[in-house]
Formats: sequence, structure tokens, C-alpha cells
Amino acid sequence: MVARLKPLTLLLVCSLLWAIQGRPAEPASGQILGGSKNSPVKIEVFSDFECPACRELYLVTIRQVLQEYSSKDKVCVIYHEFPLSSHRYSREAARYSAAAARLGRQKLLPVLDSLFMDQAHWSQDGSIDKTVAKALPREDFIKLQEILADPSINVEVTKGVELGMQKKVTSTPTMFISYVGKQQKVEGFVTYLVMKQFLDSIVK
Amino acid sequence: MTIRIIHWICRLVLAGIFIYSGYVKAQEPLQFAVAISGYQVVPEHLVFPVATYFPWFEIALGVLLLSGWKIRYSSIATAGLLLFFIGLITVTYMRGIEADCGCFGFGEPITAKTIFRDALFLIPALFLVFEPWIKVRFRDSQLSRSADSPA
Repeated sequence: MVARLKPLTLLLVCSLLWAIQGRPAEPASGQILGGSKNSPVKIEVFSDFECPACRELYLVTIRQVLQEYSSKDKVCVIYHEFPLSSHRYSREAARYSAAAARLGRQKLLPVLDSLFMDQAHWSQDGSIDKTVAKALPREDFIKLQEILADPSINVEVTKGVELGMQKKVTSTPTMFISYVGKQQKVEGFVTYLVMKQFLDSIVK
Repeated sequence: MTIRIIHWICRLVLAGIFIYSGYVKAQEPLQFAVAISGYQVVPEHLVFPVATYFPWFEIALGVLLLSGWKIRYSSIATAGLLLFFIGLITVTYMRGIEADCGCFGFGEPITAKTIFRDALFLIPALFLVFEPWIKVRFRDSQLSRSADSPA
């Protein structure tokens, strides 16, 4: 009996291993800006800090979504770094954002606000350091600079790009909105009113 | 017989176009809303309701064309809708707005080619609208040909 079970167990283990390897590995990347993994709606945004439409989307729409929906755990907003190679400083800005995320959500949000609000300024002269310094208390900024020196920050940004490419992201901003087993890919800027009408139609 | 064949081809082509186009938009109402916003003609509060219900109107029109029920009215509605589309994308193109056509899927910018393609779709729609008149003209020409021919 035991002898008969052994090959069966081996077969089961092998098939399990094969199934795990066969599944496309989704690199763990992105920062949760609001809501939780239990929220009924998940908005994943692939964003570039130098892209004007990404700025509009964050400042006009996402911030209000965070306030109105994520605070009630109705929508989980996840941001992925997707710096475009055509933008000179966006990868560096993405590194700062990834480093700020390690300080916690409360520190990340002011950094994102500052980076997007001052986009026109730092995208000209690369003064990301000054822009981020304005958003954080001095001791946090020193911590952030230490984190920036960690090579894993670069790996994290690269993971965001890889995930975007895996999901066939070709432009920014691109959102993937998941709800009740459905997923919609949305490219471009969506106003808050349109987003609100859409979210109200799927979130009761 | 020839007119009957053309009639069926026009109906099937238009029905296929409208059902496919409506289906694609109904699958992604938010992306369609982004495309509608790009035209800068629909008031913001109406963008999402239009994006939600308009695709179903297109599908219904396609089904009507396929079934042949009230074909005269559905072909007039089809031609009217195509004229509206052509006018809208032409004006948007001339205004220099870089909008997504949102015609058959997304990510297709409006170009002269897009306008020409939509104008081509108008031909079968106009055929269906003017079919009774074309039939009369066709019958008349056949009758006069048979009257002219020696007994």
C-alpha cells in the first residue's frame, strides 16, 4: 500500500511544482496609496512622474478617489512606477517615490503631491532633491536619502516597469481597474466626475 | 435579383459593423468615456451615461438591421448616425484635437483615413435608405429595355 502511495505522492508533488512554475510570476511591485487588499475595487495605476496626463490624473482624480472611496475601504489604489525612457528625470523621481514608500504611506503621499505639483520645475533642471525635501521633515528626508543608496530601490523601479510590460502597458497613465471578477484597462486621463460615476455604478 | 443580393450584403455588413463596434465599447465603458471626453463636445456630467448606454443603442441598431424588422426606419437611423459620426470626427480633426476615434476599439487617433472609412460605411446605409426609389428606377429601365427590343 505504502509502496503504491509513494509514486502517487511523487506525481502530486511534481505536478504541483509544475503548476507553480507554469504560472506567470507577477513581480511584487507598487505602493498602496489608499484602501486595502480587501477593498471591492482595485485601481492599479502605471504612472510616470514627468508625464503631464499622469500629473492631472493624480492631482485631479486619484487624490479625490483616495479621500472619498479609499478612506471608506471601497477602493484600493496601487501606484506602479513606469518611468518612460523619453523622460530625462522620471526614473530618478520614481526612485525617490519608491524610497518614500519605505517610510510609510503617510510620508509617501506628501512626496507624490510635491513631485506632481512641482513637475514643471524639476523636470527642467532635475531638482528632485529640493522638491522632495520640501515635502518631508528633515529627519525623514535624511532617512530617505539613506534608503536611496540601497540598490534594491533600483530593482523595485525596474520591477514596476517589468510588470507594466508584462501587462502590455504602452503609455502613461494606464489604469487597470478590477472589480467582481472583471478588469478594465483604461489609458489616459479620466476626470473625477467620470471616475465617480463609474465607481458609483460598481460600488454599492 | 441583383438588388436583393446587394440589399442583403448592405444589411449584413452594416449589422456586423454596428454589433462589433457596440460590443467593444460596452466591454470597456470607462475607456469609451475617455474617448468621448477627447472630442470635447459632450458635457462632463453626460460623458459616462453616454458611454454606458450608447454602445447598446449601436448593438440594437445592428440587430434590427440583421433581423430586417422595420428596415426602412433602421436604415434611416443608421445613415443618420453615420452622418453624425462623419461630421463629428471631421470637425474634431479640423479643430486639431488629438482625440481617440473610439470607433472600433481604442487607441486609434482620428486621421483623414478614419473619416474616409466612415464615409465608405455610408454607401451601404444610403443604398438601404434609397432602395425603394432605386428599385423603381431599375424596374423602369428594364421595362423600357424590353419594350425597345424587337418582338
